[in-house]
Amino acid sequence: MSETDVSTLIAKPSPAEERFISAFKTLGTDASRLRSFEAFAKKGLPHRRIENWRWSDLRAALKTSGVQGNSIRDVFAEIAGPTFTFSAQGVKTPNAQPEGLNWSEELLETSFVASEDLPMAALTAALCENSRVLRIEISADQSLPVRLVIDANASDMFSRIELNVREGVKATIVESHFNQGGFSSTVIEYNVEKNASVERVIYQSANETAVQVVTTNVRLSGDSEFTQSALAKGAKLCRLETRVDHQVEGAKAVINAAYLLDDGRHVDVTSHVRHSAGHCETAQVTKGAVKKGGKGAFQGKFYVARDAQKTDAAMAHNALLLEDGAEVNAKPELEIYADDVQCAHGNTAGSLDEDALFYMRQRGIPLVTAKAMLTQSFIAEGLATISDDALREILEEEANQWLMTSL
Amino acid sequence: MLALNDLVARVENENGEGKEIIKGLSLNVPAGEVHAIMGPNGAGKSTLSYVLTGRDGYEVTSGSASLNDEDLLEMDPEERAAKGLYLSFQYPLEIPGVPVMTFVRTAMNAQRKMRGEDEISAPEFLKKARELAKVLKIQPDMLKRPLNVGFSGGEKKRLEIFQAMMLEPNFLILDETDSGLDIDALRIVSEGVNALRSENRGMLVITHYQRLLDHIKPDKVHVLAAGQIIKTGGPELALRLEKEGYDGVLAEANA
Ligand SMILES: Nc1ncnc2c1ncn2[C@@H]1O[C@H](COP(=O)(O)OP(=O)(O)O)[C@@H](O)[C@H]1O
Ligand SMILES: [Mg+2]
Repeated sequence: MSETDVSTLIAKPSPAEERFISAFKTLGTDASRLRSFEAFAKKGLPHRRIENWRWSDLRAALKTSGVQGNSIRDVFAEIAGPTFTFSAQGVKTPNAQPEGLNWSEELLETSFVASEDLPMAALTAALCENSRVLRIEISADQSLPVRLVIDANASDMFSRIELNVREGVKATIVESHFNQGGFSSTVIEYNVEKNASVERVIYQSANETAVQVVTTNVRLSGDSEFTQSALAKGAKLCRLETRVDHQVEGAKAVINAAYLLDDGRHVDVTSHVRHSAGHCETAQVTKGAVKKGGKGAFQGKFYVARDAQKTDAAMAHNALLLEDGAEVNAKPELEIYADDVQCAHGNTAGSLDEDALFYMRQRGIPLVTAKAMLTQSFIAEGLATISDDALREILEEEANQWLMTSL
Repeated sequence: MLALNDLVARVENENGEGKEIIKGLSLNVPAGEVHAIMGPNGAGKSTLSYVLTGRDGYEVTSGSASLNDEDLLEMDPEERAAKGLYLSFQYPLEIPGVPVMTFVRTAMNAQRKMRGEDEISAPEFLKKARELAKVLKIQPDMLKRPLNVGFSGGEKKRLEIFQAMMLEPNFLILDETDSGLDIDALRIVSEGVNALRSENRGMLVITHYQRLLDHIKPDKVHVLAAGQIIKTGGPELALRLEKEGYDGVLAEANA
């Protein structure tokens, strides 16, 4: 296909889409990139009239281009462990190589990223430069967490990571997703083999002009465990999308999150959990606290295939509207084709209990502290499953700091 | 110590409409004294306790209220608490996710900070909490649970007195602390309250029943009806109310 063909793939491209077209041209005409670009181009940048993106209008958010802001403080900076940093400069890999940890800076397959359901994953596969592609292999238990830092500046940044956790291996992956004010899209694929166990801990923070999309695809093999906990502080637009597929019996997934949103911040926590095999478990709790001018969105879907009997899946999203003018939208969904399953979902939005606040103040606790304590306890469940105390305490403390300074 | 002068207060409902509940109430509780307030349901007893502690939606339209000559009405609820005003709630609130110990320690240190005092040390706090829990027959594991969450009515009231004994306020308002207590619990709670009696501490005990006043002997008894103190007497007034109900006293007041 010639260059002019690429330009015509998107009718009436927006300025951002124009940017993507010219970026694509500089990357050459790799067949797999082209397939991905075509998948993206079918609908272009998602916007609010696309069902799955109605609360995350990327097209609108990308109307203005990036503005460089301050760098973001990494709460995990003191955590020791092999660290991979993705930035405008490319990937920086660890100096030392622990046993059982291997990596290569190439990733060839684009199995899921070309899927039309995931336009941003497709765009990322199309535009990710070879300098920000990484395949990681974990073939022995890791005593230290493996850290991934994705630190974008005001320019567009696309990154791709594949993590393969081999049979029976235990690993903790700590991810920091930062954006100083531009547009970033990251695609992460987790392949968790039989009996392997992965703890994934995520901290997301961005400046208020940043547009940030993180798309994760998790494949779970038999009797594997995957526990994900995220603390998100949002961006101008931030979408954290997690797809999990229970492919073989006995897999267990936990996908929890807590989000805290200031004025002008948005976060969209979207998940799609597919139970392809029976006898698998999913437990999902998302907790949010939103100030005036903050916008939270939760979209959760459980899909249970016809053969996935004895599926046990529970989903909850609870949001706290800290002030008038806070906005939260939620869409929990179940699509179940098996008959012998236990599936539940719940969704609430409310404000802080005024009576409890007065009670606390009557005991001498200042209003701000009282609000922070109640909010902290409200969101705690979203982080409670982090089994590494140090990591959990770092995120709890970060949440507490936000509450004490924002309320 | 506590001085209320011709206090008039309104309560705002959800629609923002005000309704006058306290209608010119005057009361003086000197340091070292315990006064009981009795009165029919809906008389305004709990309202008075909320007005004094500064709850939102309870608006004082005239009159004054001071504690140790300091104007209470100008202060936020937490400031009043730091000045030593303590309310044992008729219906204590559940505080999810905050263990009793964390809650009380946060409260104690916040009060100390507002008063310009040093924080209590962890061992000192722990020692005091253990001792008082023993006195009030509170199981130690209860102090690790979120405050009042899933506690029985009696346990909640016991915890109210536990907090009072921990915080050592200058002035206590006990709003129907006896309700929901069985005889043994009533005795234990009353002993706790009596232990708090001292010459520089005052108390206002709101109750319907003589049985609490058998344990906590009041210096004076006031009858509150329709937002005013309609009669004041000694402990014998409570006995008379127990026997006759409020009708006689109300009739006298209206005569
Ligand atoms: N938040 C409120 N909104 C409207 N009316 C109230 C509110 N709180 C109390 N009241 C009214 O004030 C009156 C006194 O109530 P309360 O002080 O609870 O009485 P007591 O404690 O003496 O039984 C009652 O008529 C009650 O209905
Ligand atoms: Mg009452």
